[in-house]
Amino acid sequence: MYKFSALFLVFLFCFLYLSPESVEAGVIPTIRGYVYTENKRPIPGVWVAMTNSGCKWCPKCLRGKATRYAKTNEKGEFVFEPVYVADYLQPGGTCESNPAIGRMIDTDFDGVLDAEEIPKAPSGCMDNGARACTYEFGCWGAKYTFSVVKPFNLTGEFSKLTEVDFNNALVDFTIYPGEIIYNPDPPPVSNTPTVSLYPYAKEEPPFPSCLSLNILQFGSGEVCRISQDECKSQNDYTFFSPGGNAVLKIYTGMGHLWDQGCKQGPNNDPQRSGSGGVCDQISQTYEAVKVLVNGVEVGRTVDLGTDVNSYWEFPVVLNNGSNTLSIKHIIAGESLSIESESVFYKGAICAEDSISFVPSSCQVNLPPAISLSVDETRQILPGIESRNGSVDEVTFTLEPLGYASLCSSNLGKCQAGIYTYTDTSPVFGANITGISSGNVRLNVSAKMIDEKVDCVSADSTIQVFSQNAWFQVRNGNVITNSNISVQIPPVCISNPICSPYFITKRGGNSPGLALLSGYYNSNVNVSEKNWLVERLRSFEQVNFEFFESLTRSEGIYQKNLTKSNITQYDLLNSGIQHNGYYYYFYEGPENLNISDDISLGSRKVVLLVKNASLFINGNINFNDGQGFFMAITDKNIYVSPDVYSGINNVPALEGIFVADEGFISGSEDEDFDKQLFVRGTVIAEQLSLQRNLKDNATKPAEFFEFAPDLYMNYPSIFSKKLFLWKEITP
Amino acid sequence: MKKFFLIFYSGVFVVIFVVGVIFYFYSRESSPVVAVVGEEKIYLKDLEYELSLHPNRNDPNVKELILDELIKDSIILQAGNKEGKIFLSPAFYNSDNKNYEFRFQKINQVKSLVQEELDFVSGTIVTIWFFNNDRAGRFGYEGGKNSAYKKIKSLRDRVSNGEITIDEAVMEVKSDTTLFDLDFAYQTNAKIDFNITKGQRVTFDEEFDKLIWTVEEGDVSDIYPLRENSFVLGGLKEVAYAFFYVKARKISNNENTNFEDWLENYKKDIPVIKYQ
Repeated sequence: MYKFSALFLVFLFCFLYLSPESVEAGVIPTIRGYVYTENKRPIPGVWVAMTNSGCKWCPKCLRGKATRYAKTNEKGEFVFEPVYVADYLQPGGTCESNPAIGRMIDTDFDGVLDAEEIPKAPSGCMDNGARACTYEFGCWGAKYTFSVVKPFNLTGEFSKLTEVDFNNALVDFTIYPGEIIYNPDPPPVSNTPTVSLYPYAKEEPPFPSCLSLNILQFGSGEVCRISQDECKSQNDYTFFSPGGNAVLKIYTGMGHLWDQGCKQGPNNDPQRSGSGGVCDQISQTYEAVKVLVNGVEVGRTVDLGTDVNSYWEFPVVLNNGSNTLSIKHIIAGESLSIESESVFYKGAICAEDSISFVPSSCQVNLPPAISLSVDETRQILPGIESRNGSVDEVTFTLEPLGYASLCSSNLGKCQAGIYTYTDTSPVFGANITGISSGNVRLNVSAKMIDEKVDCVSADSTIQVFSQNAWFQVRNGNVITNSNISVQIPPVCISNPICSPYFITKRGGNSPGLALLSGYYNSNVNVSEKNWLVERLRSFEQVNFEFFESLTRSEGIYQKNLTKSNITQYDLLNSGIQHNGYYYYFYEGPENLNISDDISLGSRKVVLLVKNASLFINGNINFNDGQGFFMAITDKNIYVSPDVYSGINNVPALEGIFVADEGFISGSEDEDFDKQLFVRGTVIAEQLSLQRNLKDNATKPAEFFEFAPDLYMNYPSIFSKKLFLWKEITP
Repeated sequence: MKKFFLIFYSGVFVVIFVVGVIFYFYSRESSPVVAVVGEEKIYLKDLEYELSLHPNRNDPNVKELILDELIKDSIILQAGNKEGKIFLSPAFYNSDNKNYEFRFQKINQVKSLVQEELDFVSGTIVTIWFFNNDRAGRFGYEGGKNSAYKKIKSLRDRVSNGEITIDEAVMEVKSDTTLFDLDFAYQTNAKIDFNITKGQRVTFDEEFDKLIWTVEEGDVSDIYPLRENSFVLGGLKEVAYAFFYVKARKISNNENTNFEDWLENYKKDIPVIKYQ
């Protein structure tokens, strides 16, 4: 470990020490990142390459890429130290002497050092590799790529971090470029393999000859090489391709162009003919390499200074079948005629050339799993990556059948029985609706029609689950002499449209407490604050007798409701008035029905029902803060399934409901039940929450919200006198 | 008598057969246990699944590493349960048929709840750098420094007076092309967002980092020079001016400075047995 740290400090020293620019131009912060498995388990011992895109202030740096390496530790963490740390080190050594820069390491673990295996990248600003490496990190405007060097025998793939930009000013101890994730089972690569040609190749291992290049016979990553003998002023290759768009990449080797009139002299040095004058390296722009595909010139590499080493990319259209590639160079000792001028070349462009084809390709990305409840509809927006072309259509397919269905994103809920949907709209997507519980595989494929490319498709497991009905409370306390058992849909944990708590809150209010004699059994915390007290002693419950006795002691108890069906008219008229409240008393044995919706406005109503149950068949509402409603019975309160508001955040019932026996929320059928929203308080020996919504996925079947105005307007006669103030003689 | 023995042995055979069948199916469906963490069993099945996702799956050290990760997950869940942050369920806990996605959700739930309890401070720093070595731009070191101070003072005063927000101040720095004369990288250097817990650093200037904890929520700091110690600079030298806005902070003297601290407390209390 110490060795490892020291190794980087050495490198970092030379990085800054040799930088001639002002400090901020050469400083980059500590960079940390992680290499993980898909489950965020650390992957130690792999090399991470940090590659610089080049500097804005030094255009030449764009021509080359500098890379440094760090190995992941036990935590899967890779660390590139800031240059200012190296600043303090004793000057000495060079970047080349650092194994990670000099490539005296074996990053892919194949037993061969990188320096012997990978063609050396060209230096950008300077010929001297050691100095060049100092320029190419920390330049302002530079962006970085972080990638894992894949061990040679590994079949999986690592993701990459690209276009990473740093604030150079504040050297940050906590900059994380992100995470690199290993995918053990990568999707197959595009049907057209990438073929690379490395001229001037080593002998071992043997590679197929490029003379008989046939792309269809190559697998991904395979290489053919050109022998030195093949390097000519013009190299022609024939190859076969499935056709379509591709990008041809060429790296030209080192060399120098000399001004006109110079020719090859002794020791292969340029010499001006005749007078023997001095030759100058030219600084103008000249062609060095010309590239033709099927006889059509697709581009030229040109010189920005005195050397020609650079990377070039040319978009090309390949035939389905035979293709020809021609590369015209000037090679060492030759001269090149351009617009009647003649320049002389010293170097070995051809001998260091490398060429590769990158065909048009595309890939679909999906999350590995998506949870969906029965009857829930979610929009699926796959990630589509395309290269050298655009995707034209995306097809969604479900298998096996019967668990979910597909349709356009514009349609909302999908009809059952549709298992394939093709989207050609500008934003590729589809809706998916859960039909029955079980797992189903969603396959998303895509096509680049013009380019004749089938994208790498992606699969996701859709977990369709059946969500039981549930209930939820907002802002208020929940007090029970028993247990609370509630299962909030898992989707609420990740979905902002439903809260992942049993007691939620609105705005800046507190969520309320849960006080239980028993236990809280749920898959979520009771509230954001988690105010929960379990295993308390039993609570004393207020009952009908308590309220009746208080009205009797005030002398207002008098049976004044005689009919068993009452409406809004009855509660807006008559009643026994006392301190601004209207009291209604009903006695059984026949049950009392509220037969229709009631809107009390600012009227305050208290209803006592003795020896009978109360059936509520309509909504009950009043002006918040002005009206009041309280119903008390020594039997049950039955709420009809028809009681619902149907409007978001508008309650169906408002008031305080007290039942000595049960409060029954009322259910019709799963297909017809609507949410019961009660704004107020429910006190009962037993809560029977029967409603079961068709869409339980994100909506509670019963929702109770605390109404503070009810407590402001609570009848004073029902308040216990806890203290008696009495004047006493001193 | 013969009939009795026939019935007896037939009965014994049936019992053995039934027990055998039950044992067969039980042993076939239940994965071996590789560790017990407190009250939770960690199954070979879980370990093998995790290893199947790992590039070095055959490395015994990696196997040990992943097992330790599974043990850590279990401790997080049990500790989270103990603190009431989650409630354990066989759906994701102590089962050889657990829902892995759900388990990770719960682990992350505990992590974020613990994180929320930590002391933290968050906000935005605005900086203007100036050339600071012998190639000190066309204004020279002192000239650049004075110019940077004038620019940042105006911005700081306007943020403090409520004329502009901190984000607007950042945008003004980024769009002020005259700053190129002070710092080539003035645009990327204009801003740094921070959200740190105790012990975490933001800048290379330790004194500046201490100041971040002294400013109240919603307040704007004074202007401070950032100092860097470098032999290139010839020792400790002011290299930039900065001020910051504290968006939110919580200081409760929580004894845990990070999630790992919190976890360490429980690692001591929850026994771990590995079966390897």
